[in-house]
Amino acid sequence: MSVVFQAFKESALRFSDKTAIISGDNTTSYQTLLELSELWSDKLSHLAAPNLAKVAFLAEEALNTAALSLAVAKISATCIPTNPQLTATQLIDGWHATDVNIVLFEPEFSNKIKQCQTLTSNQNIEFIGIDDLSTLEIKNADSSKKPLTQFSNIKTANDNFIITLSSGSTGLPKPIAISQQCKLLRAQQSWQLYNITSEDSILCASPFFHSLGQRLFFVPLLLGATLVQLKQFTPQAWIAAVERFKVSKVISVSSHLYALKDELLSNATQLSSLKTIVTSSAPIDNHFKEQLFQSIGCDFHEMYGATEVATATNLFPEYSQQKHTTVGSPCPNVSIKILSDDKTELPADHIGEIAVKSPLVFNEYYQKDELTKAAFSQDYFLTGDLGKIGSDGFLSYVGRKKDIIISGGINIYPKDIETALTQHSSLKELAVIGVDDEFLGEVILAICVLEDENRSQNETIEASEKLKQIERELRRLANKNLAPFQRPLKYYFNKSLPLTASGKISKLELRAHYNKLGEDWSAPLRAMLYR
Amino acid sequence: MTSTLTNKVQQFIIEYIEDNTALDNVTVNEASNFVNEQLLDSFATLSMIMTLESEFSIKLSTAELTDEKMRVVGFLAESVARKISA
Repeated sequence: MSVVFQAFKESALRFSDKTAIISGDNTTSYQTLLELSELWSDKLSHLAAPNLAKVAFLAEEALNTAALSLAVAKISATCIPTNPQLTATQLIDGWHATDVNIVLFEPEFSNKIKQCQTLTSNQNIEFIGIDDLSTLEIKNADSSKKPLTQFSNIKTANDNFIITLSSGSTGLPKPIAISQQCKLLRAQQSWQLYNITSEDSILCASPFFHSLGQRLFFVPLLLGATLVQLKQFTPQAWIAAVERFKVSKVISVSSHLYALKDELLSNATQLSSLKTIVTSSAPIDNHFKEQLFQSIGCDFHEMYGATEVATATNLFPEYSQQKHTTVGSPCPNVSIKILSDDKTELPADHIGEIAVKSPLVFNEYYQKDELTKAAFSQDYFLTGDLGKIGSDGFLSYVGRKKDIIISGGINIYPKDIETALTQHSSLKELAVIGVDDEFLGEVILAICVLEDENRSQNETIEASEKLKQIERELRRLANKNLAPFQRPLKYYFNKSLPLTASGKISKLELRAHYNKLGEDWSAPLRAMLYR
Repeated sequence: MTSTLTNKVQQFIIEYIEDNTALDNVTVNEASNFVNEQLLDSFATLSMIMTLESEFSIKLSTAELTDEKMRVVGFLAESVARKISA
């Protein structure tokens, strides 16, 4: 039962002449998107038997991505959106882990596909250029590859529709499988939380292989709203797209909002169409949110969630003053508990693992029964995040369970330090990490990116003095607001921070880089105390 | 090196210790030994060294820090002031 396609088709028939997708200078109407997705679903239905219908795609164009995913939905098959930046070996590993048998690719990824083909000469994957799909002729129909539509009744709305390959904090692939019914419910949740209607234009600056990117496709397209795709994020391109296409709603990763912080205020007049910005756990201060509201008239929602359970909590604008240190209260029908290490429920204001029970829960980690089982305590999904619930029911996010720094035997939460230091007006971005130290276990480093006017473009004495002054100010801020065990030992100033494919700061990469320096970080302390 | 500079550094160290000590009603002066008197824990001590280096743009070497007298406020202040003037 293809509930996603049905919802899309209803919108497409109702809003047939309306613009469904804008990407660069290209616009696509709902009617065109419907026709293309129906044509491609017909082609796909002849390519594989239903139990093997796992379709991966390497695609960046919004039209291709939307039409392919809707075509897959129509025939109740499974799609596996894949990050084209992966190496050929990584791609093949991910596709084998999800039993992919059809790979569709845009022409610009032809070379990558050639590399994949050499690795899979004996494997059962069919590679088809997206440009060739429309004209693909189905020859010698084979009984084992009957049109999928003949078998669609054996699939239900709860079968796997999309498998998102998440790297997880351990670096091992976690194929997160979600049904069509769940995708539709998740879209409906966003419509309700953020008052999204068919009148809205929604900006998508996240890739489709990331769960946020998928959300930003289905939320507008299943409702009859307009999807505005930004293939390459830069603050300037973001501002230009919002202004040109009158974008009204934005759901953004925190790293994008960091980068946009100044631009939003200085370009307020161009952004008057913006009604709502949603972000996840971005340490953007309340004063800034207020300035945004004053200058643009734009609401600011902060949410907390995970690919496995969608949005779990939301901080509505009316609570942004009073509850700004929290990520809001549970969404309708969602229940949250804070659990200790032995999985017992902790009382209010105690820090533990955030566990979420939601009707929007994922199906499984694909073919990883043990991993799926281990991800739950009773019906509650174990997020791997730390937090606490106040007696008022509002959730505070503390950090990733595995992002804890343990220094001198004390658990230290980087987010506390990041929140304290980002008060400094010269900081654009900040990552606090722990690096290995033989004496203390780990020591704390602060990796800072400065606002443009403070960034040293060269190694002049003046620039160096400026950095020293900023470091002094940061240390004063830390000395004033943080306990001694929370204060960074060293401050580094970089031009940018490494990002993961989904746009989050890669602390894994930062840790690897600074560990490689091989510094004896605690030598001054040992010299002074234990000579 | 001027005594004014030493006094300035010394005052900075005293204020740092007063702000960061876990002890109540403690008097910090130039003769205070912040290690032996347990005025600062190890994190606060490390943070103080880093703060002094940053605040006064100096570098205290491991060899210099091994001198037991560096645990005394007055001596530490003189050492830092000497480096600032160098």
